Amino acid sequence: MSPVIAPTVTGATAIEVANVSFRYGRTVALHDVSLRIPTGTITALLGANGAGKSTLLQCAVGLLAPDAGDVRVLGTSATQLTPAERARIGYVAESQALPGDLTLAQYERWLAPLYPRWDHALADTLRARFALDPARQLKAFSRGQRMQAALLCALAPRPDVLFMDEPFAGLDAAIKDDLVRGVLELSGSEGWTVVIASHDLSELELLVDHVAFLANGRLRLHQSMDTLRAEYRWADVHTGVRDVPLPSPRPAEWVRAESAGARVRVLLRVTDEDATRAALQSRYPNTKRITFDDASLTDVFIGLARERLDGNRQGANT
Amino acid sequence: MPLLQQVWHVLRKDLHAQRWWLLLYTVLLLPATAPVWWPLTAPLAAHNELGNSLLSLSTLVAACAAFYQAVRADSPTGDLSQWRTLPLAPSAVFGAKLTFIGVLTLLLPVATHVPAWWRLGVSWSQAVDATLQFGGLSLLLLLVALLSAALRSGALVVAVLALLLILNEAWKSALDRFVGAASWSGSPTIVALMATALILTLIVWRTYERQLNSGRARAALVVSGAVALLVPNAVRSAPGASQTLPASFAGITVDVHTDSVRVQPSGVRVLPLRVTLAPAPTDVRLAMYSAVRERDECPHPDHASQFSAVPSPQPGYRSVLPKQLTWRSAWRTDGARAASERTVTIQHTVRLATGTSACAMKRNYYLSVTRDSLIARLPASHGSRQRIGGREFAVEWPNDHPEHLAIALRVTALSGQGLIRNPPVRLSVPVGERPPLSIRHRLVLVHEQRREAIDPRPLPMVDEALETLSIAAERIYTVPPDRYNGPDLTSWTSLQFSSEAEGRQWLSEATLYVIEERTESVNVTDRVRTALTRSLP
Repeated sequence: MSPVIAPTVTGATAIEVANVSFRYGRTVALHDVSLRIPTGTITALLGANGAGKSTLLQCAVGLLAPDAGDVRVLGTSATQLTPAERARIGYVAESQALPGDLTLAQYERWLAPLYPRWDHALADTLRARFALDPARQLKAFSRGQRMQAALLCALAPRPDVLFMDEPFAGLDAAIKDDLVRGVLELSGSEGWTVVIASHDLSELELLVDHVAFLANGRLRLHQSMDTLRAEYRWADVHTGVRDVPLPSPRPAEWVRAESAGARVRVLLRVTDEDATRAALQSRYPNTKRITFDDASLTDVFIGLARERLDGNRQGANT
Repeated sequence: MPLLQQVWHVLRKDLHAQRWWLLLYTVLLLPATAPVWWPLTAPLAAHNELGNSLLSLSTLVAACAAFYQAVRADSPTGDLSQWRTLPLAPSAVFGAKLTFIGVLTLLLPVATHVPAWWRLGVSWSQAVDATLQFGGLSLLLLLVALLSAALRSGALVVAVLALLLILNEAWKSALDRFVGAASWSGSPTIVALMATALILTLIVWRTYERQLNSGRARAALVVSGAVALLVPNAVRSAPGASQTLPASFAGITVDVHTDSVRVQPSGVRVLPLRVTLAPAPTDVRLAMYSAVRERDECPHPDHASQFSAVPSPQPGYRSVLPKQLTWRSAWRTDGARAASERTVTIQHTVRLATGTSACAMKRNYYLSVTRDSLIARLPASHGSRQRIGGREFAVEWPNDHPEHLAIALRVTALSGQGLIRNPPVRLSVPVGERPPLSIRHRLVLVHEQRREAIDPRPLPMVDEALETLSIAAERIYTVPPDRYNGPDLTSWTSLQFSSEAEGRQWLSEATLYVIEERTESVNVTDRVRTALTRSLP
């Protein structure tokens, strides 16, 4: 099993996940997950379907109580949050149920007294930006509009911590792009701590500060984006030999590898470029040239996801 | 936001969201009060069982629909309920849902019924009693709805309840078979209370306990439910009559005497029993009956059947009617007995099995004491009415029965209390079915100037209406509307009137007495057995 790659966290901690495990019956959803999220950062929580992202967020907002371990948000255990502390935490989820019989305006009016920092101006701005009709019943909204309404209701209280679980699902591309930038830029400018679980990596890539990757309920990676960009790179190896086979098993530091003719392309963690170059040279002695390119977050995500699938296959074979 | 404010905040949202269901529910509650305002609706309702059932069902469905949706919106017990991510205390949501139940089971029913209760002169205690009675079933159903939302599957709750009912029946069968008890049955009140407590406990647990484990919750539900249903059944139900003398026997001496055994022409041996009570009570009537307790040792068919016998003549209601009345009736009454009589003797015959006395000893013997009380007295003329004790009595004359005395009494009252709802008349009632206390109502017409009385036999026919709702109305007929002839109808001629006109004239001047007979039974088997042991060889 690959060790968890974790960043060095400095400054105050907004969210601390300590050895959290959770099971749905016999299915392990989270296994001994630990991570710390600094205050004022935006963290992308990545992972394939069933990786445990939603469960971790539900533990973080107190919807689920971990079987083991603890999630502390703003210094308090998530299962012990008082209403006053909850007023500083926002949560938006794809599966979120809104009171369909109420209009958006009625729902806002109902929520506002619960939040001491409810920002009516911000609510107006977001409503206008999303082009939501306040007089319309929530059940009459489309799926995307309901998600926008949920976002509005999560952002208007100006939360210190905002959890978003697949918040862009069901949104069309134009709205999604606008929304992502709007939400995350706002979060950044306000200094909110945001954790966002999403498959839409392309939108997040330029905006998030940290990335956490879950696979099979285990935390596989937790890195700052800067480190991720710096360390995960494509190595393009011109081996000088046609139909060169890929090594099996693959080296631990290789996240993803492809071969075409005499060329091998490897996505791997590069901490020392010369050492990596030397290691590749020794594996492929006839190498003529090795070049390094930046890897996108999507590349890393797919690589880690494939690694998980491969792991599953191996597990199935054994 | 303070807790109470949070409760009101959530409740207000629920009330707003469910306003149409609540309106429908309120509208459906109103017809129950219609007989108070529009008496003509009473017989209409009485003859429309399907309509009444649909109305009751619709009321319950509307209440359940409103509540179920309110619960689904933010279930206090749901694992992933959205409210848990909002700045709301669990107690606030739980309190709001319970208050919503209160709105459905107490506030709205009371609000819709208060004018009718006021019109009927219902007392506070009667109103509270009726409200609790009305809300009881709804409360249980709503709590089940609350719990089913917790378990995310209403079907699971239904399945568990069905399983518990099956277990309950199996348990009772096992008790009957292996313990040999004749009548084991649980008390519905105890079962309902225990079930309510169980459900509330589970709801509270699921609301506040965040270490969730559905398996444990379901196991706890099944085990606790089984306990709730099975334990009350382990308590033997009360016998049909009390072994101790009822309060109305206080100061009365009971002596059981036996005569010598006689052999009837049919060969059956009988033993006359005399039960003497002294001093003779002037305000009660006494009877004796017996019932076979064990039948296995009694091969004779006479002994294999349970029976009871209420002695004639018919009672005269000496304690509640004016003195020295002449009865205009073909029916023999006991009203002429002198009040100065010092003792009352009840004759009873014990039938003995051929050649043995063992079977006779297996009988139970009961004395019953009946006390009469006058609950209403109003002119017998058409249209007269009287309101008393939360009940409204109104006299009607159906005018389409020229040959018979036809009078109807309409009673409007709270359902389940104060209604004139006579039990079915059966001469042979198994002792197990005979309640320790039974209440019957009779009508007597009295012409006070002429000192004459009519006991309008046969027993009044009863129409019941809207009995499942909080206000009920019913009519008692001396002649049912759909019968014009029959040997059991009281004709003017049998009452010694020369014509219908004379009879109607008499009726218009008469007073209707509504009499309640309360009969208590007392088990005197031990006394009878002692006397039999002394008498038999």
